[in-house]
Amino acid sequence: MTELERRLRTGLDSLAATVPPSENPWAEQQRRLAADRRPPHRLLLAGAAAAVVAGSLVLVPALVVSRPAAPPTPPPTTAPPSEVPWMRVIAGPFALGRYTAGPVTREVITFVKREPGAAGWINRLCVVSTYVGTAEPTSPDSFAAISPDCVLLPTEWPARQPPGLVQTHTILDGGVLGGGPLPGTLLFVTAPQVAKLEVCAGDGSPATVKELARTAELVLFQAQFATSYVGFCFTARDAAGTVLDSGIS
Amino acid sequence: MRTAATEAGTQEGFAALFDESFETMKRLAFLLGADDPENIAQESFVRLHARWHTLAGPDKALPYLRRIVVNLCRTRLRHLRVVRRVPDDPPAPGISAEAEVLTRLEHGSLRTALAALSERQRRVLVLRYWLDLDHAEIAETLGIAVGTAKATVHQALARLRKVWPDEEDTR
Repeated sequence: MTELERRLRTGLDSLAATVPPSENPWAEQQRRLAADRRPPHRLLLAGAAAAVVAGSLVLVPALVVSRPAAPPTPPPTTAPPSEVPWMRVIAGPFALGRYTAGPVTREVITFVKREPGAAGWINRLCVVSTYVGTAEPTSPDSFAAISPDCVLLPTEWPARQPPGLVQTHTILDGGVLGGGPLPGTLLFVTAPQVAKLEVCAGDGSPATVKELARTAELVLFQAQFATSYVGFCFTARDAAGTVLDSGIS
Repeated sequence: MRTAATEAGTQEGFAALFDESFETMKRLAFLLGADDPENIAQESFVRLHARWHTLAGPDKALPYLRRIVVNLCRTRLRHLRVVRRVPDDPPAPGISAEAEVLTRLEHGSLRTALAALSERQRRVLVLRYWLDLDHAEIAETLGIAVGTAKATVHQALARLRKVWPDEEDTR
């Protein structure tokens, strides 16, 4: 072994030793493995669900979900009033893009709604496909008919960080990675302490990130990719620029 | 057919490998230049777990894990180049500011030298001189020919000699 090789070995050992040991990494691994059992991809939580919107009526089922008790929080005054007493739209609706299915053009919109759960208020992210025009066709297209549900959002983000402060949601893809009417769009919901989100595509190029809404409990971002979100990565930072969470899909 | 016994064996084997190798994989990611080595190590084990039953044997797990770590670091570095950030030294909790400055100075020249190498050169040096892998293992980890691995180590050392002068020589 040459002197250079010896120095290099010693230097690398010393440099590696500066990385502090993790605190109970096995617990974090168990959490990730449990999350990984949700298809189609670990980072992609259950695909944002579709509900067909007819006129101004949003068809959302009242689901009961258990969570720790939390005091009901009044919705922001900027939110549009809901026609349903037990449900409030607390963010949105936001237009994500349009697509054409045969002769029909639809617009995809998203919003966050708050509704009562078993022991307190819960938030859900919804993505819906709305018919653009005056006469709703009798048979919805395949994207609009995927699912009538919305995705439950966390109201309490993990105290330990990183990771766990970012959730991603695909657009009406029916569980098909890279599928759906808007394969270049991805929604991110983060903890409120996330001030900035950087997203890159699979080829390393940056995606355009737009903050759609910020509430006391969450931040909603829209990431727009040139072609597809498959292979994306992200970095979430606080106001000081410190990395709070990051991930690679 | 997977039985409860083989399933239990799998879990034991995975847990044992995690216990033995997590910190090493995390440090490997750090030495390869990733700014989030903990996340990369965790994600690597998740991906290994998903492929565990497809491995030809238990001895294939560690090489496969190393390969995942290297590939995830490659993706991460590509992202870092895009957003034009240089990974910082990790925080060193529990030491004084003065000691931290000294530590950073001590490692600064090596970090600068490693940054001057190509990504592949850096990889082979870390795998060879930190993980103590032989050329065949390096080739397997990087998915290259053994001859290429050997040549790259040689070229990387030659480049390092130029960009990392001995401190004695510079005084």
